[in-house]
Amino acid sequence: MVVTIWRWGVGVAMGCAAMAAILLPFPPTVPETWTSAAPAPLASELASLAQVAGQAHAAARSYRAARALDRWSAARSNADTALVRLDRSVPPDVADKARRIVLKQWTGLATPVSAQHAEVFVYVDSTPIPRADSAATSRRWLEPRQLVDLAYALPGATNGRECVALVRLRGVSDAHLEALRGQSLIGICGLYAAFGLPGIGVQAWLARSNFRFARRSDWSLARAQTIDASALYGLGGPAARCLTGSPDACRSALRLELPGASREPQPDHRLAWVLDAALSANATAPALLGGAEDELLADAVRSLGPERFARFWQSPSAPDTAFFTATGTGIEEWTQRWLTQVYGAPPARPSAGVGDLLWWSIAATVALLVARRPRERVLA
Amino acid sequence: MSNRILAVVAIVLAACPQSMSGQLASREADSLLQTVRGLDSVLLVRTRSVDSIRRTLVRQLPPVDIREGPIHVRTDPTLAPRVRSAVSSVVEMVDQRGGSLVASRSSAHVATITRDSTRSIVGMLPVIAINADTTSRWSMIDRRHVRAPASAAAIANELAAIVEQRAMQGVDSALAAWVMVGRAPLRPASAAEEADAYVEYATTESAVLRRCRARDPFACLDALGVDSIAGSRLDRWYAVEDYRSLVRASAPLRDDSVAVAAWIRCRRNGDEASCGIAARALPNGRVPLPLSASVRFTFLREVLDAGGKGAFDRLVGSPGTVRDRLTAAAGEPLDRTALRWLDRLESSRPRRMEIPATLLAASLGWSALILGLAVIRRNSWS
Repeated sequence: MVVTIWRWGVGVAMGCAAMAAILLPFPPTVPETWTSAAPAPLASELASLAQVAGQAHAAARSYRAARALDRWSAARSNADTALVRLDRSVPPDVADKARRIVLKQWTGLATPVSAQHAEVFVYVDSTPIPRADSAATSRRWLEPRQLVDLAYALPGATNGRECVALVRLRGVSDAHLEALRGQSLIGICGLYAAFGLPGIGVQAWLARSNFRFARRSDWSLARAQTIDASALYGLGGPAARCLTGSPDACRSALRLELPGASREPQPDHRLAWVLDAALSANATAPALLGGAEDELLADAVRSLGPERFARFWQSPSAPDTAFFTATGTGIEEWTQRWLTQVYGAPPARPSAGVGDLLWWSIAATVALLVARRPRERVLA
Repeated sequence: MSNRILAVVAIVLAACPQSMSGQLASREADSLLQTVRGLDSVLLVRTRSVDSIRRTLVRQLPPVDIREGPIHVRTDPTLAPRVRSAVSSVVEMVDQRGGSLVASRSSAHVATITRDSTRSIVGMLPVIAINADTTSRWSMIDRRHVRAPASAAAIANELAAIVEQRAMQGVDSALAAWVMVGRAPLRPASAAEEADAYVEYATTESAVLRRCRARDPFACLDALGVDSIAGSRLDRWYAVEDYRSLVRASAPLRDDSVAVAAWIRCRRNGDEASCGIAARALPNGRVPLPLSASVRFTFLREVLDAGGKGAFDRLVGSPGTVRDRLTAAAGEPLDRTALRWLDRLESSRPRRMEIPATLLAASLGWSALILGLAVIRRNSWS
């Protein structure tokens, strides 16, 4: 029997019909309970609960920050400047150990630091925030359970000149001191201690970006270049385009330029200048330069050196101008190099190799020759 | 108030700006505390509202009740025959390997096995869901599911996994920390589990493991972390030539800048001296055991097999160190168990490049189809 296109088509259609007859109708699915989709009234009530819980936790953090700043103000009247300041609530036997721990971390910066613009303030406060239900039906506290709390009060929250790391010890046991030892205390205040107050332009840029690029000050430590092979794919649009060589995208990812309408207002309340160390900058807004963005300025110190970085940091110009003046390199170009170092170079664009083209040419030639060959009818 | 008194008050206030600002600040803290309390009251009301809505949501229990030995399950009529068969095989497994402890822990809970569905890339997939417990609103053990239509063996496998987890609930922390995987090995090992254990055993670079491969049972027990011996774990488990692979799995403390720099050089260039610096900088507690918890799990299965009935009861109930308890469970010297485990591990070497039968059949079928069509198509299509 001769196979014609018509017969072939009929055969395929019959095969498909047979498969459909076997498979259809698809088995009915019961309403999904496996993924625990909450019913509508419960879902809306849960959303309200989550919103209020978030507000309550934020208010609790503000309350703790206000209390800590009060204590710091009271303690500060006793002395002028110090890299480590201990509250009266710290017992003498604990005070020596705590002071040594903090001083060791300051020494670890391996850069000359000044107490004029930064300090670490340690106090003991084990009081919980009492819950509204005095009958104590719920044993949960409003604050997460931990041994040490850490927040950074920027100059806007203190006296306009100092960055203060507010360290709250929730007790004075060995475990609390061990937790203090294990915590990186200096944070953003390291930049203020080593390089002084930032210039007006840099300060505005830092505030605009919620200080997200300046959260770490561990430039004295070497660090691995690539954090994770898959982190590259977590970069946002502007950062990814910056990595592939678009200077405008670099400026956008760095928040160097914002349209006038969306320019963020400067915080007008002193507690808005307190950064909670446990709350990542990415908790409220997506990362601009990926998960390693909090290391950006620490890496700038690593690559530029303290002297050139200080010139950039203290410059009154806009950050791009300040960077170029201090280093002779554009901040866009440097950021692209930084992205490449941290996340790895972007994968090569898909392209046809020489070998592929060669084989394709041979195959096409053979196909053309076969097609040009006159066809002969073979009798069945 | 006379002018003189007012003047005195003004002078006092002017002299104490600190105390004024302090009062203002503490007033701010007080006001914030009031805000926190206000929000906490709202939170309390919302929590009660959520709880009350949740209490009104009653999920109906499946109608068919199946009880056999310590296992109690409720299911749908359409699933009942398969579930009965699955429950029987799980009961048999509990009898053989579990003992009275597992039985008593399992009998305190009622599982449900129902038809359900789960999201897939395209639409929904029908599944058979196994809920570990209906007696409490929240369970430590997750729900499990198996793709429908499932055989009785597949359902039994998932039900047994729940019983395995149930068996380890409430055991003391020393044993739980050694087992680590949070379940007891009641089911026989799967081929994939055995193959994974063999690959890890054969490829891990460690001095103590090389001695184990040379049939030193004490080295095997040391690599399995059975004994807690004082002293340097690095010297005991790893030789200098193992440092490169060790450093790949563990990093020194981040504030040790010399060690971190050496760690980076070791990972980047494989420089032997740097690997040595990075490895020696590891705190003793950070030096990893040569064999993982998955391989320890296969050893525990060997111990329970050796001990037979009641082995798990003896393991959980015996006093002493982990070694003492494993010995009591196995009912024989542990070095003998270790050698048998070693034999089993050596014999479970996976076959490389094994081609699944379905893949073979599909390849042959497609080849035959294409060749057949090519032979049939002797004429051009008209």
